[in-house]
Amino acid sequence: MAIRVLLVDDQALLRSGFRMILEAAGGIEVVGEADDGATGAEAARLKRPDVVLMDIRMGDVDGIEATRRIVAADAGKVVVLTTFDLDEYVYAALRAGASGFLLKDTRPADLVEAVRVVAGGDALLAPRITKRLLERFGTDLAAAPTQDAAVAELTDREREVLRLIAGGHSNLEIAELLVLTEATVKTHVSNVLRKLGVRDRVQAVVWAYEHGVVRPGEQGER
Amino acid sequence: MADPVTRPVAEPAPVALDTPRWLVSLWTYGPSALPLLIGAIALLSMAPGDSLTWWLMAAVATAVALAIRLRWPFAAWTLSQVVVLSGVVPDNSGAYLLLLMVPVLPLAALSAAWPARRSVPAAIATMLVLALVAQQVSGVGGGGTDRTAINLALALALPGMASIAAWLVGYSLHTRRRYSDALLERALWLERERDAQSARAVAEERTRIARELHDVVSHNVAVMVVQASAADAVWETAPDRARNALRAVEETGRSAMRELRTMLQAMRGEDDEAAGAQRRAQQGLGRLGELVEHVRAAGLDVQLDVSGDLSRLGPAVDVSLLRVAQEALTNVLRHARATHAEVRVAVADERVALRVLDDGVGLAATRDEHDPLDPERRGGQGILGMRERVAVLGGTLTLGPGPAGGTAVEVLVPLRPAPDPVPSPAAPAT
Repeated sequence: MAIRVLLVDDQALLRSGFRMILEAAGGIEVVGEADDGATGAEAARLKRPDVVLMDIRMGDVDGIEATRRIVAADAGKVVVLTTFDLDEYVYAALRAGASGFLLKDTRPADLVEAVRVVAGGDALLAPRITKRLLERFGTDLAAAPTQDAAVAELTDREREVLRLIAGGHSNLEIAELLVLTEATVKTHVSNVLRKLGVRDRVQAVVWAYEHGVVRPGEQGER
Repeated sequence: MADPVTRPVAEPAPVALDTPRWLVSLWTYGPSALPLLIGAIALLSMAPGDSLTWWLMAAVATAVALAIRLRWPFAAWTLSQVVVLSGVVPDNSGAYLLLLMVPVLPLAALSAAWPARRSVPAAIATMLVLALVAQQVSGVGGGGTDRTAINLALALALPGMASIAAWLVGYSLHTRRRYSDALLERALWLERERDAQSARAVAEERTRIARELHDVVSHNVAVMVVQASAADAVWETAPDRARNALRAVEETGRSAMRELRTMLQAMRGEDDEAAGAQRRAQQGLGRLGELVEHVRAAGLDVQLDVSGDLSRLGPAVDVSLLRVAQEALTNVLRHARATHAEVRVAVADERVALRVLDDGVGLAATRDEHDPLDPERRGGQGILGMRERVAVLGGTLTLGPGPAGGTAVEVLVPLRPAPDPVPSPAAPAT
């Protein structure tokens, strides 16, 4: 079954370019386009895409607000597109529930791969950059480790898995590090997501930073 | 003595700042020689006794009071009063005229250091103490003779004159110092203001350029990258779409070049009318009037004379000339000790001239203030900075004595900087 993608960008030439790239890859179907946040959110509600590629800076309703609406309606996973700024807008989009972000100059093959990864939900988009972004903009929020009830609910193993997810590791890497099978890791990950009430790995990472489970700089990339 | 408001006078202030050191020392400690000399004469000419002891002690105490009068005026003045009062006890009416002189310099120093509301009572106290001693040693009120009236007059007139004269000298020094303090403060304020302004202007400009660059890149370059990738992706399967994508790349590239060109033009200072007018009003010579007002408020009488059309100035020239004028006026305030200055701006032909003249002490007098080897560095980096600014614009800066004394700063700059020798990207492509 093809992955269904919705394109939201105020530049028509960007949308048509992305459409050509994605459709040429096979296994991906662009089900719609929208040129601002409001119509984008509306289109997502109607078409229920798997992945929404969302520009951040747009007219009245920007990408952050549109992301919030789409996530609230559970109308697809949002990947935010940015020209070159890893800034507070991108961070705000992640907080609004985006599942990742992409630079607009991402190579076609990587773009296609990113759409597949997000649709699959097992790995983090650009783990290293995600981590840096969160460390930079998430520090204020991670000031005090809150003993959220959800943290207490996690088993020690699950907390360890959460820390490794926040470090940008894939399921396979986590399995190797903890000497487990990948299937077991998948179970742990889905338990973590369920207990925290988040929808994917990116949101789990954001959650971990904001609740002080991971302190900036604490979890080195191994 | 522990007067909370009395600050020690850090520098022997009544002497002007550029007086040679030896003269300052002489003025500070020299006066002490006189009482010491009188003490020595007393020692040589008088027989030992109470009177000689008093003479010696009074001489030493007076010498101390004089020596410390500039640093601790209140202590010096108090000590001088003690010396005068001690003159009542021994029978030495001959010493009265000398005693009359003891508090003069300490009182002057005190009046220079204190505001009038506090130095006037000190002057009156001095007068009263002197009168009291005069009355004691000359026996005023002791009998009904004809000499009494004369004595009384002398007893009051001499202390009165001495005290008033001392106070007047001190007070005028006090006023002058406050005035020059105010000037200096104003000059420093202007300097800070100028620095802050240029920092702000640079920051604003940087933000503006960053924003425009961002727009150009995000709107055009991103499209080119994506469309080129798309062309590649469908090259074989859909040649028509690939071709359209390539055309989109071409078209977008052209528009990016157009936008960059406009941006470069703006950065090179060839922006449009409205932006020019706005910038002039904010950072350029449009603010000259305001600047002159500030300097007037500092007490310098400045005359401003502008002739010609300022809107013909290129933006860089415009902004730089305001800075140069600001720098020059700041220097006048800080170093020239001038009372009057003139700022003239004249636009004629393809050049603009800026002249700042003052009636101050001139360059020679201020030359070695900061660096004896390099008169250019008068006022820190000031003149060097002005020269650099002007040189960048392809102009000249001349510094020399003014037509009526003082200093003249004269700047001559082309209305617009000469174009680069390399072909400009702003030139038509064909």
